[in-house]
Amino acid sequence: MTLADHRVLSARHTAFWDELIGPDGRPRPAAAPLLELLDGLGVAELQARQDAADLDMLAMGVTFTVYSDGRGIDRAWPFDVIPRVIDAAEWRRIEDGLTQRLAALNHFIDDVYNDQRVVADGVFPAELLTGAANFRPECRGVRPKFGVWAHISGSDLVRDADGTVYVLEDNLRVPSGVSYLLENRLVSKRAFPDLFAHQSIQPVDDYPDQLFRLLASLAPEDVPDPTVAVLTPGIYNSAYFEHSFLAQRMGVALVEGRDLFVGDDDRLYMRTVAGPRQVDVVYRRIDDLWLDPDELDPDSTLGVPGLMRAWRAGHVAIANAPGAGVADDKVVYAWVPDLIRYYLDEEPIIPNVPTFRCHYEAERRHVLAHLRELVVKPANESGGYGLVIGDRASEADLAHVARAIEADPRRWVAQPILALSTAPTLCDGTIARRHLDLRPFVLTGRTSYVTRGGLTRVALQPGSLVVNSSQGGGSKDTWVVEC
Amino acid sequence: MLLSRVAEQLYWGARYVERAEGTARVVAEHTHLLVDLPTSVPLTWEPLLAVTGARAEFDARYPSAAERHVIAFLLADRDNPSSVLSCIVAARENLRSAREVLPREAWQALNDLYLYATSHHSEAVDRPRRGRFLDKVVAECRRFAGILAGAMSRDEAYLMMCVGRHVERADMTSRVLDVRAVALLDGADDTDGTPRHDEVQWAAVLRSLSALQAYHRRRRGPATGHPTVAFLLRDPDFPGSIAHCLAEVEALAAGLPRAEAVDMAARSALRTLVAVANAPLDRLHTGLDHVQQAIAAVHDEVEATYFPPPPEDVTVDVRSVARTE
Repeated sequence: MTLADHRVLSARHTAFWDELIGPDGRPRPAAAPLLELLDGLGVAELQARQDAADLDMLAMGVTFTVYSDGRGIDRAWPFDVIPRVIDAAEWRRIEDGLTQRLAALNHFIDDVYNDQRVVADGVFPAELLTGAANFRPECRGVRPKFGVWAHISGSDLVRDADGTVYVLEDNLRVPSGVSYLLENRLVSKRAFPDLFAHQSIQPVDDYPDQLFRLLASLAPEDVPDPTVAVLTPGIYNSAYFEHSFLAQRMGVALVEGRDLFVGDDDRLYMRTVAGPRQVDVVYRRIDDLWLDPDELDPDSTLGVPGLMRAWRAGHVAIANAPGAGVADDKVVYAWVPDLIRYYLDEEPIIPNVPTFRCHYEAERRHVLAHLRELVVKPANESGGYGLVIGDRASEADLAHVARAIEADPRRWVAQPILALSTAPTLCDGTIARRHLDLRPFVLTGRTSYVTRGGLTRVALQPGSLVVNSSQGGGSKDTWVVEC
Repeated sequence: MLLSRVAEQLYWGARYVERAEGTARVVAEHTHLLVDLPTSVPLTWEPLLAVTGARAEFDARYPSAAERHVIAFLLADRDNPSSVLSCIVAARENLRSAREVLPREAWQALNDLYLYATSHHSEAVDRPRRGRFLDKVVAECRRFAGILAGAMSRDEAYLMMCVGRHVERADMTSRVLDVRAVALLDGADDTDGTPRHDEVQWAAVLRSLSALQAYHRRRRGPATGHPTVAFLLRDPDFPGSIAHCLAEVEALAAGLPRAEAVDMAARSALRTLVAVANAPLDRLHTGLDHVQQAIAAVHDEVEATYFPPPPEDVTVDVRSVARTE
């Protein structure tokens, strides 16, 4: 099959929005130079460039860890050589929308741990807050710098059949994937050097610098040259590659919990060959619960006893702040448009996917009656685990999830099944359409920064909607193109 | 800035690479020697077990000290922590989570060695193919060291790896001397008329520490007992001599913070060395015991100064101890 055939195919299947090809079968303007080049190359040459890209990934040691049967296996990062292209004008609107969203979410987090105005004003139900799995009473009364709790976030965006871009979920705890975004670009530049030379594709390489600047800005006021460290759970974590990558690119220490201790002075230190050295900012890549065995999960061997105490004393900044996850709950998600209106007095720029909250009886009854038409999601899982897609699930799966919803309704939300957009993807020597999403990363401190584009994740199985790399998804480079 | 945990991983990573290389050399040389000497000279594989200090462990699991058992144990036995294969695995495990301070190529070289050793170790048991396996292991270890020397900044991380390598090398030289030289010297008195080809054996001792060529350049003439022992103990310039290794550790310590105790231990070990080298050869065995203790003391100081405290290091409540007593 050639790309031209693919256009015909795309024109006939108008049920999905294609990112590169319009409904008339013609390239979308931002993708025109790319598609012209691809047509000229032919599938065989494209496959050759794909193979070279795969080798690059292996040689650069770009891997992720998959867990199956309790064993972790390092796999080369799956990458599709055909990029996804986004018009820069559209991207500017998305950027504004994400900045707005994170501003509102941070106001919300700061509010729920302090005055709880949002509850007093009747905008957010009190009972949802007290029952929220990620609400940490230990964080009450803390006021992090700039009022920001979720410094590094990754929001998943999807596009429906009519072209509308929605926020599908917000990841405010320890979102991962940004290193793959950068490595994808490196490999993609080698595959299509000519296009990078002749087109205005916005660069992504400045992310580690931006991240470092943000982290350094979080240090307590009196520290002129702050020491920053990346806290990893260790080599067996699936995102260890990324932790090591970011630490290296920022030129900061990659530490594990056992490298750190809190002194009697409530300050955080790392053990170095020159003796204890104070740490001012921790970019933690471990979950809240493991941060401090003294106050959170007592069995944690990944964290640091006393870390919460040092943080509350204002001697160390933690990014993201403990407790920030309260706002990436899929139940809270349903309120984000209201939160934007409440805190910012603005209309949301990027809409939410309509979300049914099983917590409310009327919505729960609707969900249970329409399971076939909905995607049911556990409110606090990440990585696509526990997700049930109604029109693909077996009767047994649906019955099982129905029982789970009735047993603990607050744990579940449901959304209509979206017709996720597609893009041409090289699969086994032919080009086929595959569904995808997009995870841009947002840095929030005194100012905001949004990655140009994001990590495009693509479901490699025909018709599949599950894009998570832990479940067989792949990735594409994402080009924001001025045209 | 170097984390204590990473310092420990770098130190042991470098030690294990050095130990893999050292063991491979000793085995290769013993195999050569066996081929060289006439069958009238009794030559067993047992000294090799003594060199690696794992005799008891070997006896517990193998029926006899026959060549194939000893070779399997020393080269390919994953349950023997000082086998070549185990050393390579341990080096990789240690350096895996210190990757961000290593040059990318160094990690790749070690990974190549790991892949080669884990897939080819069974070949090493057969004598004809053993040489190629051992040569490859030695060459890859050297490549790893070469990349470090050529690509790594002379920071604390680099110094820590060099300290590990030199401590290990000094230790290996002392073990080879202790087992091989002491045996040769012991045998020198009982003359039953059989030529024991001493020069061949002394040359083999030197060769197993890749010291023969350097020895010839320094001494001229055949390798004999006393000069060989003196050369391996205290030649200032040969990189495998114990004196050279300890002097290196002393020099490296100058670039490390808080190095007073390490420096003192290295100086003290050098003094021990001079005393042993000046003593009559019949006291060599006892002397080498002292040298080995002095090298171990250097290691202990490195550990106490730079490595993280063990996880179970909890403060003991003095009062509760007093009560139970």
